Amino acid sequence: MAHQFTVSYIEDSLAIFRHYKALAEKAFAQLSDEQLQWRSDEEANSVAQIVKHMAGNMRSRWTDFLTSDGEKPDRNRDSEFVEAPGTRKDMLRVWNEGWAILFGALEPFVRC
Amino acid sequence: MSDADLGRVVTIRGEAHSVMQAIQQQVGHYGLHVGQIVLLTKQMTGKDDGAKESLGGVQSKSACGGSEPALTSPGEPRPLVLLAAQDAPNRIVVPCMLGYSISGFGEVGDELLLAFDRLVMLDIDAAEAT
Repeated sequence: MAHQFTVSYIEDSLAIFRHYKALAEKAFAQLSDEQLQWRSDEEANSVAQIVKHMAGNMRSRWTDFLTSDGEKPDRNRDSEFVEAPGTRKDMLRVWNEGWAILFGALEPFVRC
Repeated sequence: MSDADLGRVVTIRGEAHSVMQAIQQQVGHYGLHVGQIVLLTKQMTGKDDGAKESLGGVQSKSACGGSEPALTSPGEPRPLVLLAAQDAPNRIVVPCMLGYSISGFGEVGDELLLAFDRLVMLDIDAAEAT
């Protein structure tokens, strides 16, 4: 019973994650390459910076999820908000890499 | 992955979390950032026409007629004319603001200058209170 609850929770969470991923990708498709880099002011983040931050978080949290700390020693969180991926291709690459690590960590739970 | 793994403790910055807590934290975190991406996209494209590429929203379509014109530059304030709602003659509706309709009370034809980075709800609440 408890097991089923937990598996359902993870399944539901995976569905939410997939929804978020698809929603953001619909947004990317509506933006030009320049708009991916646009910031409303010096303090604000561009879409590309937000993507880099999310991907950095995913890599850190979900790599060796069960056996290592979720904040990896080599993560440079501050740089995620400074150097954004310069092209759409680079942005999508880090985006997809981050999600692949997340799904790779969580999907085995629902298959057991 | 075994049943036992579901009850494991994982650490984040040295702090202990259950597997479920760790997941829950990121469901919220990623939702926040995807919301930012959607908001930025709507600001830049002005797109909210219910077309198949629509990013969603909760406005009632009847209040919205057509699509909103794109901003001349992202974040720039622009005037919107308040429309009367059909269900109450003195209730006003600001249509299609970032996918949401806002309503309050006032005179039809009143103009409000709405800035996308400000909470215009405050003005509307004030109008409603009087």
